[in-house]
Amino acid sequence: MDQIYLPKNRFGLSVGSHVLIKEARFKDEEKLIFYNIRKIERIKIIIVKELFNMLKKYSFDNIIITGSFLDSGFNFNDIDIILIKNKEVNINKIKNEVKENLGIDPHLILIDSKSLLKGISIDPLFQTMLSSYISKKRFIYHVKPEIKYKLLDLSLLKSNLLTENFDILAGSQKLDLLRNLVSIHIFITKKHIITKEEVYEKIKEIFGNDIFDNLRNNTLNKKDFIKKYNSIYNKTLEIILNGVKNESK
Amino acid sequence: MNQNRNKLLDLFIGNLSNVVIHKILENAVKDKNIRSRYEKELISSVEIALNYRNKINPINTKLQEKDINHIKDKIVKKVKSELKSRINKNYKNIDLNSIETILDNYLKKLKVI
Repeated sequence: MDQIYLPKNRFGLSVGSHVLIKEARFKDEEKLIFYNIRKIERIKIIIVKELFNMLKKYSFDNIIITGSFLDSGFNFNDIDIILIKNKEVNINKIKNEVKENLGIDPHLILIDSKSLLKGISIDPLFQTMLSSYISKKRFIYHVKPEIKYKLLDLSLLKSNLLTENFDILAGSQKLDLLRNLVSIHIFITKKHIITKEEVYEKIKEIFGNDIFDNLRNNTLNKKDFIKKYNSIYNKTLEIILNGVKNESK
Repeated sequence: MNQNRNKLLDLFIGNLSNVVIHKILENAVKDKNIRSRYEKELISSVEIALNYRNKINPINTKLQEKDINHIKDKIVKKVKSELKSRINKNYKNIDLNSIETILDNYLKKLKVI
């Protein structure tokens, strides 16, 4: 007869109690890939694991979590999820499922791996997004920057709204538009794959070291800020439109 | 009060102009996969415009004919001017004829007409 020894004094298990003995099966712990993430709250890791588990049935080639969700704190509005697959999938169904189960608004980008690599080579937003991420599988890319002026024009357009709407935009919205402008500016002038850190450094260089505090507290000096902002916006747009002109020659 | 309303109308016009320009430039980009990336931006521009619309009386019914004409005129002029500056730089596939159809579509969605 097999015997199992238990310590005599156990909380909740008195002498003579009936017990059920069951083989312990250890579930394979999902290993996440962290890229360029120095610190992240434990609760976010639990959310990501839950998310990956929920999306397992769709058999994506890879799932990449990026964006403000990975920034320190809980100031994110949504969670950016890049779903890599070479086939069409019903995105709305997944969106509703994630929202219902996790209570977070997902922004889903369904893309095949070839288009994702293309996106990284031409779009500074993809570049900054993927300068830090959590993914299901390792994701390595070596792409050369490619300047597509019409796409940059489209990307720049939203930053056009900052000046006009300055008084009503929250600090985080201003930061979003500023980050967009500066990302495009660096990409178009330096012509290399950019990183989020590089963008933040450039913002500090142009607008001063206290820019992020001022944006956070929405205490910017409007006149001074708009002057610098418009200057960089106009320079960037000019380079883009000249680029479009040269491209079509 | 009236000054506030005019300011709100101007902000609404500015934001909706951006939405229409965005839609037309988006249509000029051929790559479907890349285009879909910009949908988020378009949606947030429409949301900002909606915020302004919800502050302009009457909120639940269409605006007065005078306001509608003012909004349409200003948006069409602004969009045309922005797009023409691009056409002058040899920007291809920009469809100026689609401005009014796209604009009307958004004005209906935002309960302006």
